[in-house]
Amino acid sequence: MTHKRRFFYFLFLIIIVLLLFFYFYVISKKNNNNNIPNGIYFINTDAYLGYFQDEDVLIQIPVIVVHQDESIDINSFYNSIKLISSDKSEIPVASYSFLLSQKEKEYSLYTAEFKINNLKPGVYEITQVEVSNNSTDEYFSVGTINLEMRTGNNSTDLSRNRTTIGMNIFSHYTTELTNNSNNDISIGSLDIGNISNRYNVDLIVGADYDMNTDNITISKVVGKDDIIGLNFNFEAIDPHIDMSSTFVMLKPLLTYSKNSEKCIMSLPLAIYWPSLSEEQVWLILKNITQKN
Amino acid sequence: MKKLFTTVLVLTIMLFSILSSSIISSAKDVSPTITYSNYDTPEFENPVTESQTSNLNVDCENFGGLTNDDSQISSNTYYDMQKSIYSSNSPLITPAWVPGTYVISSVSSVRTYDGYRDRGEVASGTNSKNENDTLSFTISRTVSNTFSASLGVTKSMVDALVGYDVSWSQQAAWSYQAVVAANRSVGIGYKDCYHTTVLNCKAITYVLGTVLTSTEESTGYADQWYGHEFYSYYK
Repeated sequence: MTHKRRFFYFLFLIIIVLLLFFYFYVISKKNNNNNIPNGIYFINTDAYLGYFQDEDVLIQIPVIVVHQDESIDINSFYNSIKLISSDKSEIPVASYSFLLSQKEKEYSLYTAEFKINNLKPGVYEITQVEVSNNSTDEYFSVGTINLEMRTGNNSTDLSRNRTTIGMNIFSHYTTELTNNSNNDISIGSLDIGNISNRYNVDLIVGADYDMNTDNITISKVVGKDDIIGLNFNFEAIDPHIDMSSTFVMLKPLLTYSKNSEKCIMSLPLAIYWPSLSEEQVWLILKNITQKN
Repeated sequence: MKKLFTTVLVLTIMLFSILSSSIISSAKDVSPTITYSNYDTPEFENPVTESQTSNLNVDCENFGGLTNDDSQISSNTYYDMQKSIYSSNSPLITPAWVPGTYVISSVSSVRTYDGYRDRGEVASGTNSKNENDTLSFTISRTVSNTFSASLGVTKSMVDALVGYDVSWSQQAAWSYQAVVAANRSVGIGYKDCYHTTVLNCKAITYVLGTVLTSTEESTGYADQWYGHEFYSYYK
């Protein structure tokens, strides 16, 4: 081999090596952040949703969409999305949509909203969503969403004023109620279903939503046309639970008594979803992809 | 020929090192979304209303908290600073030699509590249908820590005392759906929740060469944002 041929041989080798490095560099840039592929990821949620038959059933699930260098049309990404219960039966969804909360360079946070009509009374434990593309069906875990459908209509003895609908930490649920009935009403307890397995509930009574307690006698009995503020505080039974990354959804039922008759009222839905830093988002996605 | 081979080998290793380091650094480049506001002009607000809710043990590192190590160092530094100022009752400890009037400011914690500021209505909507409807709200806000201090107490002194960056701020957005009854209007209210530290600001004035001293005190606060609360109501 002449010197000239050897020189070109080594030059060729250098070019090949450079091209390989460039290729791996581009790949690593494209799939940084733990190599999470583009797509839609459902986040696990703990939920108890108590409904009466006359109410519109609404289920919301937090969703992260990874779209690093591409844009994803989330509404047409899947042909259909079904809610699947723990006994593998399908919960009929009337419609679903995605609502954008936050858009970042490589990912976006959405809320998937499912409307459900004509559900028979009973308790349903939703644990998965089944998504369908043109050719494949996939299952994603969504945590444990307990949906309790009660017979009859929601009570009208108490009308609700200011009521919690969302926080970033599952700490409390506050509501301000007015007694519309002609009788005294004695407040009972808050039914939070399966959530009570992991959280204790402590009730504080006040004059209104701001829990003012000046110049009033704090009582759980509210007279006709009077207003009462109820503040239900939640404390994790397991002190090691990380409250700043726990997703909870709660639509509680309030029990009360009127003329010795036990009654139940359904309260509005509140969602407790943490404000996620970018680092937390990638950590959640990494956990989801590892489980799958 | 041997020289050429060695040169090619060295060049390849160098290129490999450079590219590897750039790949590693790019993989680690998950930049935080935190932005910092101008701390020279702290936001003065009404005091936080003490809430009736139970205290929460929340990891506040994502809300402007220093890391444990930073916090420890800052606390020790502050403690040492306190010791150096207050280790003697004599005003001769003043750090100046030329005659004149000198002021030494210090800050201490009086008490802490959890509370909120109610920002009032931030969104509203009307269901003009004759049946229930679901209204969607997307609300974007800047959330931040705040502090109020006087008598020469600086932001860095308050940072060191409370263990977090009192000027931290972040843009945040949330989406909510609310079922609204037929022909009703609904309002959405908003509260910022804080861990509040009530501060005692103190300024001791020394007149060098005399025994004259005077002390001024005032109250301040440092609020660490840890959460938000949305509430709805019929209008």
